[in-house]
Amino acid sequence: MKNRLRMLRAELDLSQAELADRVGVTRQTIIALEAEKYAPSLPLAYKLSQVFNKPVQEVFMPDP
Amino acid sequence: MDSNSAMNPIPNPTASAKRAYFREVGLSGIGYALAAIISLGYAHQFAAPWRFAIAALPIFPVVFFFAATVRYVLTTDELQRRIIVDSAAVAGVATALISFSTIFLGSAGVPNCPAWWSFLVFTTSYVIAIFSVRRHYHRGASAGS
Repeated sequence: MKNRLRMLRAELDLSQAELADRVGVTRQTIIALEAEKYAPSLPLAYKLSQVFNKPVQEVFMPDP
Repeated sequence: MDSNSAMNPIPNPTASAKRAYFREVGLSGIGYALAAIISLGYAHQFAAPWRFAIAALPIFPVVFFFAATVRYVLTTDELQRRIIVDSAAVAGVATALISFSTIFLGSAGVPNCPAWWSFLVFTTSYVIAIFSVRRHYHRGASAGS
């Protein structure tokens, strides 16, 4: 699953650790998400979209 | 969307789960050592059925250890949980395949391995699997700021 986490995180000037703390996961999870190696659970996807104040479908996109 | 909750950091589940896990595993390790000393040193001095009860004492700390492991898996970060469960699945399949193979090796005259070897096989394959699975989720990832 593709995502815009890195770009959105940069817009808010958040580090990976800060974003991880905001949503209650480890920094390794954020790293794996940004590398698109891991697809988040629905609750985590919603938490991440809340941080960026965007709808989930603007943060995560299915693979083409 | 309510971003208020997003501004307040949520406690890292893995850090607190790890602390609890190491504490519980430490306690079960101490309990196991004490139970093993009692079991091996004194079980033979008693008649049945007390002999069997004392010999089985180490089982209780082991049960506590497994409960601690399950609790850790359920409370940790979702990616860590995926890594642990994936690795356990690979280790389980590897153990089953190797155990199944011993049936054919046994028919060819190879001596049967004792049952506790399956624990050794599982542990070894779990350690190999967890390194491999972790690498899968982190390969190509760049640890940014």
